[in-house]
Amino acid sequence: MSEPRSGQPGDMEDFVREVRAFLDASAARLPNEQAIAWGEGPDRITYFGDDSAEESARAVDAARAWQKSRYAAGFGWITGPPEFGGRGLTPVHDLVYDGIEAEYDTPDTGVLSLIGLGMIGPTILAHGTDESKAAYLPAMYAGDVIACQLFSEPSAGSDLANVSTRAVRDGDEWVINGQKVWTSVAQHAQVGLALCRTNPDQPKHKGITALLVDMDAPGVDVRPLRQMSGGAEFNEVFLTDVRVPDSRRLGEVDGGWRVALTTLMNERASVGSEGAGPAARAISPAFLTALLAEHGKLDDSSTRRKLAELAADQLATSYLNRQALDHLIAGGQPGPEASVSKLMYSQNITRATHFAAEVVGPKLVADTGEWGAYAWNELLLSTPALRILGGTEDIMKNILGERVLGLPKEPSVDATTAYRDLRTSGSGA
Amino acid sequence: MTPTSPTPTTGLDAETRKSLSESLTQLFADSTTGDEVTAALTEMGWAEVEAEDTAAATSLLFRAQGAALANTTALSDTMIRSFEADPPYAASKVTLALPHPSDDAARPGAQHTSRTRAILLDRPLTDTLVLLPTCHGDRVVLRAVAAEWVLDRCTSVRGFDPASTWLLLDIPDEPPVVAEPVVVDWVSAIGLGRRALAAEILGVCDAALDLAREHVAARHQYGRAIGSFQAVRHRLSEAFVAVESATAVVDASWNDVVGEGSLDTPPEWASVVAKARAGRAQSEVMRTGVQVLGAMGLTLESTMHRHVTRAAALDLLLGGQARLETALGDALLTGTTAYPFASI
Repeated sequence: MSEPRSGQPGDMEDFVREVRAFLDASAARLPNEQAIAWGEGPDRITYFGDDSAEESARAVDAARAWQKSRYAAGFGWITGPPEFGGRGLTPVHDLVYDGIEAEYDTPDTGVLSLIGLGMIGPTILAHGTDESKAAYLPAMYAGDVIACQLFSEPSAGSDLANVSTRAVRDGDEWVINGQKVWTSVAQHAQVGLALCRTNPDQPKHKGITALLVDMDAPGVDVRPLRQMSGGAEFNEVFLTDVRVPDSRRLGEVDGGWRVALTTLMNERASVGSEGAGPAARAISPAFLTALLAEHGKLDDSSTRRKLAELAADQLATSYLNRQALDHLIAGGQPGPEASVSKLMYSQNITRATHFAAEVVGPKLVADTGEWGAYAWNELLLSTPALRILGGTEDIMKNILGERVLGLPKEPSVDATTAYRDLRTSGSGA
Repeated sequence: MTPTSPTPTTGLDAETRKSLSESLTQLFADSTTGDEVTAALTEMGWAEVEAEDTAAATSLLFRAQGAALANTTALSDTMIRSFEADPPYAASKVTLALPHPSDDAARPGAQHTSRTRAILLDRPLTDTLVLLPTCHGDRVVLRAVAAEWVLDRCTSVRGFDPASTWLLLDIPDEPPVVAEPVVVDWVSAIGLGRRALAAEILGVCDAALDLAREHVAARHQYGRAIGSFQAVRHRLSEAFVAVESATAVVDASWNDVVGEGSLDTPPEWASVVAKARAGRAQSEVMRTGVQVLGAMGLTLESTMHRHVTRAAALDLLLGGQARLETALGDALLTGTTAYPFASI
């Protein structure tokens, strides 16, 4: 691993040359015009994917290897501080890099970047001790350590502050017991950021502590959860007498909710942005047009109108994301507008998939071997997830109502009551 | 949630219907395979119940079957009983193959004269016959073939609804017919089949809505049951409205069109409206059901996924919602009278 190089914000032309030199040397360029050639290439229209364990392990290896190359070349963490392996450049440099890399055929690094580098990294940077930052950040951005978010629990989904996993202080350590659920990438992760109940006598937001858990530690048990769409991208994580040194705490004791908010704001921003991959390609107007051509539906005026609506909504979402990015570049914090973007994105992908399902018709139910037909079923069965994960649609709408439209909050009983006196699922109505 | 339906002037009275409905729920709870369901229905004397009041019997049976997510050949059996007595195949046990979902159900095989393709609800027993409905000009005939011939050539309908027992037959061969082809009243048969499927889809909806109701009453977030949030209540109320209104249409579709103004209403109109409406209801109920269950609805933690995939698969039999709605739209544009489709 080479020393991360420093750079000045003003040297954009040099930066671009450097990026091109790296990418030209390490990856093939994609053809200029990515025309849709119907029937060619892998027949995959997926959001989560339904890969076998071996396929998924291969993809994780490829993601790690590519992140390692980026990091060695100084592009692993473009905006990060140099003392923890970052390049110390601006979000504009990051954006420029992403734009150029998109012209090349490179492995998908989502398993590392979506949660670990996109959400947990910024949280460690904002709230971690110097020891934790040094221990995790360089290793994460170098592709060696994958991080997951040990947040949701069986009784704490939308109401995340209701976590019941207990952490009890024992000298310089914490002892954790409890269960987390719907945890993405836990099966690949080396570290997890866990929200734990440390003070049940305080109202729920005020008795949570955030701890970095070594996923290989004794007492950590990861079990896969299978989705309706086929794959097993989520997990249950059981924590039994797991010991964590206090130096791996983020933020104050009982101050974990502030830490969680840092992660969550980054999560909404990341789920709402379009990204690449088979799902983005499948719902693109170009792919949908090719689908319509294949099914002889190009001349149907109601179909054309729907396609135009889908295209307009996708453009609107891109511009929303672009605005949010400009706001971040100007030094702003991710705000409630990320909720708009997330609502739009899940709406776009749901509508486009249902549109395609209607065109494909009965071929969705039985695999006849036809390219681009039965393959839609994975995406169709995945779309409900987009209205749930990263904050449900219902919660997003509440956030918009309260924080953007300024509507009165719903009367709540749980903000001032001690956690131990709250009703939770299973305790009766 | 018991669906309300108008009491018919003839046939089974309300009390009998209620008791039959309870017996059927119990029957599906006690039976684990389609064969067991068939045997239990025979023991109950189901054919006689059906003969006395086809509308009530079919609605009750298929609604209960949908709620139980059961895999049976009841649809095939019910449609076969609607054909005329003493056919050439009378000596054998028979199964009806259903039109392939990509075909126009009213004209099975018309698009692919040299192909044989169909859906079977379950694996036919050996030494029985499979009836393949095939369009000949304006008529539909049933061609009987040996079950073995079908078994050698069909594949499981895999993937979408993993619990399904359906088989797909799709081959470029003409079937070796073993009995004289018989002309049937196919329009009436698919009308009956569509009403049965509409009832079954609504049964799946009943069960999904029950799951959702139980969940939102038991699940607490923010210190209260999530069913106490208006956003959640409104979603479920809308889903209930979708089921109730579809139920009303399906119930009404059993009454034949009589009187003035109905002469240009096509005979299949009522069953097409009923099935399309049930298809729309299921998409609304399933969208809502998954959403209120949160992440549990997406994974196999809850059984909601089984309702989602079953309802979607049933929707495609004998014409999916989208296809039927397109056909209705086309009919309206060419001057078909929309109302009344039934005498209420």
